[in-house]
Amino acid sequence: MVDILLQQIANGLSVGMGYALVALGLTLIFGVLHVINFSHGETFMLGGLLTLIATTTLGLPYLAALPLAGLGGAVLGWGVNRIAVRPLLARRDGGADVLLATFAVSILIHQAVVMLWGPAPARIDGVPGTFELGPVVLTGQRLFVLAAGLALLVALEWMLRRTRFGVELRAVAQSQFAARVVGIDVDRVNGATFGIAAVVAALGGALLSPVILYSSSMGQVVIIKAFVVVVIGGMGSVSGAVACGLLVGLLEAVLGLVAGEGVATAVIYSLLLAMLLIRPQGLTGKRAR
Amino acid sequence: MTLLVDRLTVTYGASAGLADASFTVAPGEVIALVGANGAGKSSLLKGLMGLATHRAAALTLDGVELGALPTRARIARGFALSPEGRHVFPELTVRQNLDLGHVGGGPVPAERIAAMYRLFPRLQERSGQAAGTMSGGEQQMLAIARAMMANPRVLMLDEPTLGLAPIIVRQIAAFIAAIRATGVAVILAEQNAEMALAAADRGYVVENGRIVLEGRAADLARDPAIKKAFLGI
Repeated sequence: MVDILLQQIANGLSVGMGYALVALGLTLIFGVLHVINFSHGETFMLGGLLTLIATTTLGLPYLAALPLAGLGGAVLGWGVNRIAVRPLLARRDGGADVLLATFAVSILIHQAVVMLWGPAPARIDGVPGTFELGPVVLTGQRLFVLAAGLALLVALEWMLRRTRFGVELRAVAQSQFAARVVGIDVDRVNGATFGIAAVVAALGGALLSPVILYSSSMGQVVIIKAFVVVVIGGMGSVSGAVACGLLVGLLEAVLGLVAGEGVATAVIYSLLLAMLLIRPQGLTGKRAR
Repeated sequence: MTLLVDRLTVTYGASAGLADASFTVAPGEVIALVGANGAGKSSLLKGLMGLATHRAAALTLDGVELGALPTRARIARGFALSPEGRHVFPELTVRQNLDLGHVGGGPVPAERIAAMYRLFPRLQERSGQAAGTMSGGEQQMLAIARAMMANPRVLMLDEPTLGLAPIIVRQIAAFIAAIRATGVAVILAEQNAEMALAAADRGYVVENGRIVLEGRAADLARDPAIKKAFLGI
């Protein structure tokens, strides 16, 4: 039993890394632009789809598909910001409309993908091999998800703390007015934030799709989980998103083992409701600053 | 260097925050904008900085028109603002706040940071501290130093003494005297008319979005109507 539990913990952490990568972008966008980007899950799905196309139609090796997915994510993020976010934010009180506008975008993307590629799930071959850590057997892909996800998080944290752009991004998150006073181009920072969030989500999709199977609805499933993660971790908190992403993945896997998948799902959404009622600022209670 | 502003109008949506304000500022000159809260002083400064919707027949520094430029370009040409309410970045360190005041691109010159620390030694002691954890007076010094990082030729200070202890007010007055001696022009918007007129060469009285009176600061300070309206005497 302990062996199976450890195995589920390892599996849960690798799926949780995917949640963390999606939630991270959601929370970053909320922290900087104060809007909710509902189409963020479709960026994750697009990362999976591009990986599928690259490895099957184009016949590229899996690792070569990753930069392609990242690039596709960047283009999509840029486009969503330009079409559905920036024009609305320019209006007074346009922030609330962004949720609905990006929801519309997410349906459009999802339906377009279903129309062009069909709804059938597809297997993607990731990093091959298995690794034994005591009783725990990790597939090469799950290990790669954990390692690459961690590297991505460290790189992002370094960017936010140590680069001029990262400090400008945090400045905009803390006070848009003050950022404009010192001459920061807020539109540019907003656009770049969208782009970075989208690259991370698309890479998340590229990493996770060999583990969970690619399907056209994988974005819709993950965005809901990401909302749970962001609410529990604190809207706008980067470290909260990462920690709670891993936590939700873990909880899902372990509860799924001991009590069944239905119970696991019920517990996670009860947690969402409870957090909103009792502690709406999230566990960390801090914004992306 | 001379700043020339002709009929500056600043609007928020449909309402005007400031209408047809005209004034000049010479190098090393200190100008006081005096008026009640909401009179239009902040609107004037935001218009100059390009932070609010505005139009002007002329907004020139040394004959160069700045009215159509974005804020960053105006800062690069010599404007800088320490805004009302200080607006430091609360969770960035003092040093990071100062870094963001530098607009030149490339690395932040160490010499410029050192100059700010000489100006306000307190900031050096707190350089690694989150700005939001400092006292109001220290945050005000940081807001001024952040503006000074841009090496401005026209420094705009919006309510720099609001809510601060008299000792800090004296320090800020001393700073203004020191900075004008280096040839930097200062536009000082203050509800504290007594302090502002004492520090300034000339003053403009702003009321209901218009400049209603202008003159030498010393004359305005003696004007019975001003005394009654703003000095509480």
